[in-house]
Amino acid sequence: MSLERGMISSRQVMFLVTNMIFATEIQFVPALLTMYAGQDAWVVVLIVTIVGFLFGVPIISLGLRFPGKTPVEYGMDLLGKWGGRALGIFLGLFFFYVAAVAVRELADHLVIAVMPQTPLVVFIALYVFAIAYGVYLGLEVFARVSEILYPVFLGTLMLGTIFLIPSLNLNLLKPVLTHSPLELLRGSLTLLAFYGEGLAILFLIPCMRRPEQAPGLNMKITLLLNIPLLVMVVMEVAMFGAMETSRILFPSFELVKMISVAGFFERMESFLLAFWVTTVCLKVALLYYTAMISFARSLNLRDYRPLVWPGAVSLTALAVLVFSDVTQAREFLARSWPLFGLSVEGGVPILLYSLALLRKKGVSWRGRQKK
Amino acid sequence: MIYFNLLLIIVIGGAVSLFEVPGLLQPEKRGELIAFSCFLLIGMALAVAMTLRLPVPNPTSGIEFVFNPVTKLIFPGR
Amino acid sequence: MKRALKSMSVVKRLCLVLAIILLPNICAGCWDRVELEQLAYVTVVGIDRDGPDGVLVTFQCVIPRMLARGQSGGGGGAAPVKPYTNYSVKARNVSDAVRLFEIKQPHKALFKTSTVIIIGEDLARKGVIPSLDFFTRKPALRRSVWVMVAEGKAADILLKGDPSPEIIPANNIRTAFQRRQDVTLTSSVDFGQLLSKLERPGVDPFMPEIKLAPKLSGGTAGQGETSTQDQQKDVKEGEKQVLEIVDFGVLKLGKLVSFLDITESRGLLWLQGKTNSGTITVPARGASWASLLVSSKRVKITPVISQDGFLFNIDIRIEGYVSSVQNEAVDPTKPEDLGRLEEEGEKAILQDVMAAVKKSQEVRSDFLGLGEKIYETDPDLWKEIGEAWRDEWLPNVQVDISVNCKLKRTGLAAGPVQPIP
Repeated sequence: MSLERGMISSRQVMFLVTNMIFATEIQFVPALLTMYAGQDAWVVVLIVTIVGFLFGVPIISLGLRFPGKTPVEYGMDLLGKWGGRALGIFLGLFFFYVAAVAVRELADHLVIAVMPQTPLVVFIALYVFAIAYGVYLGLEVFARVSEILYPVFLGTLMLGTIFLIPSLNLNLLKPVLTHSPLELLRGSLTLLAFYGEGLAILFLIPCMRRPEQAPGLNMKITLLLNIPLLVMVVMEVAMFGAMETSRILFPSFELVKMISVAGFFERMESFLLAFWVTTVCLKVALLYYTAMISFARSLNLRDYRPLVWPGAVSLTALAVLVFSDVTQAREFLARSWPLFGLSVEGGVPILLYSLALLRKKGVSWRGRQKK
Repeated sequence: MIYFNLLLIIVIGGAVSLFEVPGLLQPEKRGELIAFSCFLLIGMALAVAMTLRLPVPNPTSGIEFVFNPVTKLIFPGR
Repeated sequence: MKRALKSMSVVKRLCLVLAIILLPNICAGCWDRVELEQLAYVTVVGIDRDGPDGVLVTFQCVIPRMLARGQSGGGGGAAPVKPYTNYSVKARNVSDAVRLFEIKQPHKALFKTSTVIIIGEDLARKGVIPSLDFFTRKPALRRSVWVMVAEGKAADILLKGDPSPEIIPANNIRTAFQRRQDVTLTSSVDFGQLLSKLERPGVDPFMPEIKLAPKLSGGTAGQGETSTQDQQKDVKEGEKQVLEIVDFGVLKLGKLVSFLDITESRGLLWLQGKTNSGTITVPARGASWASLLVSSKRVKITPVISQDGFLFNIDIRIEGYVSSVQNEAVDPTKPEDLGRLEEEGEKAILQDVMAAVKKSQEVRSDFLGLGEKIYETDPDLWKEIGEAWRDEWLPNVQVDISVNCKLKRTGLAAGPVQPIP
C-alpha cells in the first residue's frame, strides 16, 4: 500500500524532476563550471550529458524492480527492518538538508540582488509556508503546477536569450580544450552532484500511473536539462568571458539583465526572478515531500501529513542555520557539495541495486514483461 | 525584539498544534501524534535556540569537516 | 463550497480566518519599499582622482519635477531652469562617496537610471579597476551601462557640459553616442565588455573618449571646420562648452596609457568590424575628392607563428557605396572608375589600420587584441610569452594587411552631373 494515493503521469514526473534539478543548477552551475574548466565549460556539460544518462539507468531500473514500493520499503526488504529504517531516516535527512540549502540559496539571491534590506528569515519563512502548504495538499498538486509552469519558464528563458545572440562574441570560447582532464573532472563532479538530486525520482516511480513509461525518462530528463544548460553556459562565456563568468555570483541573472531589444524590451530579470521563485518553490516542495515520505515510512506512519507543518518549522530554522554567509555557501557548493552529494546520490542506489541483484530480490522490469 | 520573536515562534507552534492535533487524538493515530510532537519540539527548540543566539552547530561546517580530506585531494583550495 | 465550509472543523475555520487577516499585512509593506519622491536619480557618475589615494565622485541627478516644468515652458524663450544638479563628493572610494552623497542631500541614490560612468584622465592613468569594483557589486547597476574616459577631469564635463539641444546631459550623451556610432566616429563600450576584456589574456580594453570642445568649432572630423547657425548667441555665453565624444582612450593592464587620434581610432574600428556607414573621403582624379560610405563586412586576423617572430595576416572586407564625386570626369558607373575608387578606399583604410597598429606598438598596449589571437590558436605558447608580450613581443610583430573594398551602389544617381555646352 502506498502512502500517497496521488497518481501522476510520466510527463509530470519528467517535469518535476527536470524542474527540481534545473532550478538551482542554472543559478550556480555556470559560475562553478567556468571556475574549474574556463571556456571549456560546455565540454563538461557534454560529458555530463552522457554520464548523467548512464547514471539514470540503474536508478530507474531499481525503482521498477519493486513496483509500488518506496526506497524505504525495499530498503527494509534488502537491509533488514532496522537497516531499512536507518536508511530511510538518513535519506530523509539528506533531502531535508538539500531542501534547506535550496531555500537558503534563493533567499540569499533575493537579498543580495533584489531586496538588500529585507531580513533573510522573512523570505525563508514565507517561502517555507507556501511550500509546506503545497506538500500538505499532496504530490498531485505540485506535479500539475510544475507541468504547467516549467515549460513556460524554460520557453521564456530560451526566447529571451535569442535576443542576446547579436551581442555574443564567440571568440571568447577559444581556445578550445585547453584544460586538463583533472579540471574537466572537477567541473563534471560539480555538475553531476546537482544532477544526482534526481535520485528523488525513486520516490515518484511508485506513484506513477503507468510505471512502464519510466525507462525512457532518464533520456528525456537528461536532454531537457542539458540543452538549456549548454545554451546558457555558452552564452554566458561568450558574453562575459570565462574569467568574469566565474567571478559573478549569479551569471544567468546578469545575462538576462543584458537583454535589450531596440531599447524598449528590457529589464527581463524580473520575469526570470518570478519564475525562479516558483521553480525553486516546486523544487523544494518535491525535496520536502520526499523527505517527509522517507520519515513517515521509516517511522511506520500511515500518513506523512502530520509531519508537514512541524517539519516546516525545522526547515525554516535549518535554512537560516545552514550557511553562515554567502562565502561559505559558494565554498561549500564548489568544493564539499560535489563529494558529499555524489556519495549519497550515487552510493544509495548502487548499494540497493547491487544488493537486489545479489540477493535476487524483486523482479527486473524486463523479466516481468516476459511473463 | 527577542521577546517578540520568541512570542512569534510560540504562536506559530501553537497554531500548528491547534491545526493538527485534534485530528490525531484517536488511539489508532498514536504513532502519528508522537512523531508530530517530536518534530515540532525539534523545530521549536532549534528556532528558540537561534533566537536566543545560542551556539547552534552549523551542519554545513560538519559536512565540510568530514569531507575535508577528500576535498583537499580533488579540489585543492584556490 | 458551502458543504466544504460546514465539514471544516472549528479550528480549521479559525485558521482560515486568521490567514485571511494576516496575509494582507504581508502584502502591505516590506523592508525594501522605495518611494519615488525620495530617490535621487543618478544619470551620470563621474569619477576623478583626488590626492594620492582619494576620489572625487560627481553624481549628476535629474530632478523630475523640474523636468516636467522645463518641457511645458520650454518653448517660451525664457531661460529654462536646469532640470538636473551635480553633486561632487570627495571620498576614499566610490562606495564611501555614495554614502557621503546620501548625507549631503536627503534622497537615496538610485543607480538603475545610470547611463554612463565617466572616468577622469588622472584616475584612469592610475588604474580603472579599483574604482569600478563598486559597480560590479552593486545589484541595481547593469553591465550594459557605458563607460567612457574623460580628457581632463570628469567633474568638469559634468559641471560645464552644455546639454543642448537636449535638456539633460545624459540624454545628450546617449543621442550623440548612438549617432556617432552610426557614422563610425566612435563605438560604445559597456561595462561588461570592459570587464571581460580586462580579464582576457592578450587584449587590452579601450574606452570612448569624452571631452569638452568650444562651441564654435562644432566639427569633429578634424578635416574641416563647421560653424553652427547661432554663432552670435553662443559667443555671449562663451564659457558654455559642448560635449564631444570622439576617439578612444586605450588602457594597458587596466591603466590608461594614451588617447588615440582620429586616424588611429578609425583603424581600431575597422579592425573591430564595428563600422557602420563610415564616410571616407579619398582623392579622385585630378584635384578633387570623392566620398565613400562604407561598412565592414568581415575582419579576419590570423597569426603566423615562426622562428623569427609573429606575423599577423589581417584581412578586411568592406562594402559600401559612393556618396559623392566632385569631378565630372569620374563616372562611378564605369567599371574602371569604380575600381579606382575602390582602390583609393582600400588605401585609406589600410593607412588607418597601419596607424592603429603603430600606435599599439608604440604605447605597448594590445588594444587590437593581437595577443588574444595567439592565445586562441596556441595557448601553450601564450603561457610562455604572455608575461612579456606587451613589452617585448608586440613592438616587433609584423602585420600584413589586405583590404578588399567593394562598392555596390552609387547612391540614387548613376553618373556625375554633366554640363552640356
